[in-house]
Amino acid sequence: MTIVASLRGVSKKYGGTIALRPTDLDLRTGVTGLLGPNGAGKSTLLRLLATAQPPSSGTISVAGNDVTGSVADRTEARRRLGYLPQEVGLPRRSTAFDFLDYLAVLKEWSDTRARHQEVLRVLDLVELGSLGGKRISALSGGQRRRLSIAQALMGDPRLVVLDEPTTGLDPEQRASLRGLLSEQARTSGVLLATHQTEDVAALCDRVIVLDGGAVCFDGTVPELVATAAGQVWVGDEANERALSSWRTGSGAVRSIGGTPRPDAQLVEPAVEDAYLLMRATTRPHEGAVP
Amino acid sequence: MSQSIPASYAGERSALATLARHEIVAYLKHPLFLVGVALIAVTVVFGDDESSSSLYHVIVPATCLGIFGLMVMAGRVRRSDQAQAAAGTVVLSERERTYALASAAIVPFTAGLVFFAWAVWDYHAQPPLDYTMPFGDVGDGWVYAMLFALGVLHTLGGPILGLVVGRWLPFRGAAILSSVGLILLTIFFQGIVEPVRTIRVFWPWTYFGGPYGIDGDPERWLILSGSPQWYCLYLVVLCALGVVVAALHDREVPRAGLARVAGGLVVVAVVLGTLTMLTGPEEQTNPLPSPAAEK
Repeated sequence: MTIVASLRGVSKKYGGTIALRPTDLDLRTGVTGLLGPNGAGKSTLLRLLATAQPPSSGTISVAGNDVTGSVADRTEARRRLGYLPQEVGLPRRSTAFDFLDYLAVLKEWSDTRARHQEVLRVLDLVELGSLGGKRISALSGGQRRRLSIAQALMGDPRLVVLDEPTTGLDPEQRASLRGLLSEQARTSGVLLATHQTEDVAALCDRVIVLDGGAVCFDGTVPELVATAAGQVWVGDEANERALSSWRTGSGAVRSIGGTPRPDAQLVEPAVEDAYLLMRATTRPHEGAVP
Repeated sequence: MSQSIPASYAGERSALATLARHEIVAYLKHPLFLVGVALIAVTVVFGDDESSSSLYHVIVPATCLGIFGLMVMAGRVRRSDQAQAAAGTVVLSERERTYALASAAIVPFTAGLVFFAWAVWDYHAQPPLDYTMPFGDVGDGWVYAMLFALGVLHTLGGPILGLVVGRWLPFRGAAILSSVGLILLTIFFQGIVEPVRTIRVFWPWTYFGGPYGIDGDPERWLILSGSPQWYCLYLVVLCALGVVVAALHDREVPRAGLARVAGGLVVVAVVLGTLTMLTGPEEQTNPLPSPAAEK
């Protein structure tokens, strides 16, 4: 797999607050999931990669262009990346097509015919092909989110950076997005920050867990899951000695870490179990995850 | 779907030119611009002023294309920024977007030129009456310069001011607040207030004559001091300065060179404003009384 982006000693501070500690990462083609609690530095890392803000230290390279160097290099990098910010305010009075068409102009699509074809292509990709003429104010929340995803995919970028892309999408749309992103990842690097561990399990070749502005896990999904092997149990009674425990929809109690109850049965862990276990062990003072 | 389109597709024409064309078309279609043009058309067709010909109509394009233009452009800036924010990052820089937006001011400016052509024609076809203006040593050159300065250049200046407001005051309502402030200060600096008559030419909109009145004839026509010819150049420099100040907002690209240009333009503007103030006719009163005095 080809390296599409690299970070070397990259950190970010906002005043006296450290959002991202010095980090080294290489991102390759394929889908990389970025997990972490709120405030872990996920969005900061994504904004840095997307050149939306400069790092406090270190160098970032996107498709071979040092985005921390000259303006020309940063511009070249922007030609090769697509970015979906976490919160997007769309121009409500524009139609979906006009919005994307305007953004395509801002992304240097000068030829009108090619630009319109590209807009139609990405609208089709996110299944909004029939709604191009509709005003954004008339679109549902999920449709607006898909429209935002469409702009990130415009121009078939080498690096696609998505901040919580599945927020507001229904299960069908999420499944469809997974298909779309996995297809995109054949030729591009896709980095998505999410709280949806099932998306990571279903989609990602690699997962990075960020906590307190530092990478605390970087590996494949099976490797992440393996960190919880032998530490997930299911029983009938609540387990107060587990690091994390909750009653599932079936009525059984799922416990992670700590000491199991004698009647509990060991089960195969899932990505969520591994993530919760990692969180509970790195932040024991926060107690059980609700 | 095919994903064969290259990652970085740039057509043969430059991206900036494409964006400029996009902004021009968007301005042309903007409802407020169209309303402004319609109001000017109504004024031209139905608002005939038999006494002063087209000379006092200059306020119409200044308002309907200038003030409206401020609001149109500030809105366009907000929309452009909103699109940029939705994508997080785009290839064209904020400065390039600013230049493209500035180029859209050609739309109201062209409409202003059409008005100017009509105003000059009307001035000759239906000349102003003797008790108004011009009179004395003030001739057609003064009239043309005044019509151009007050009737045309503000169709450019208003949108460019909107660009500055949109860039530096990016909060909702900034354009309306700026418009109201601009109108209030323009009333103060239009020549009514005698103590500021000399320095009024530094304000970007002011009259050079009108029925300001004298003792015993409150509507007697006066020509105020100052050169509308230099004022035209002064306004052009202010427009250029506005574009530069708006472009300076982009912190992502080096600003030192642009800041020097802005400084240079400020100096040129001060020189031209001073020339406007110190040259041209002195304040003079039409020897003919106004009809109000004769009643």
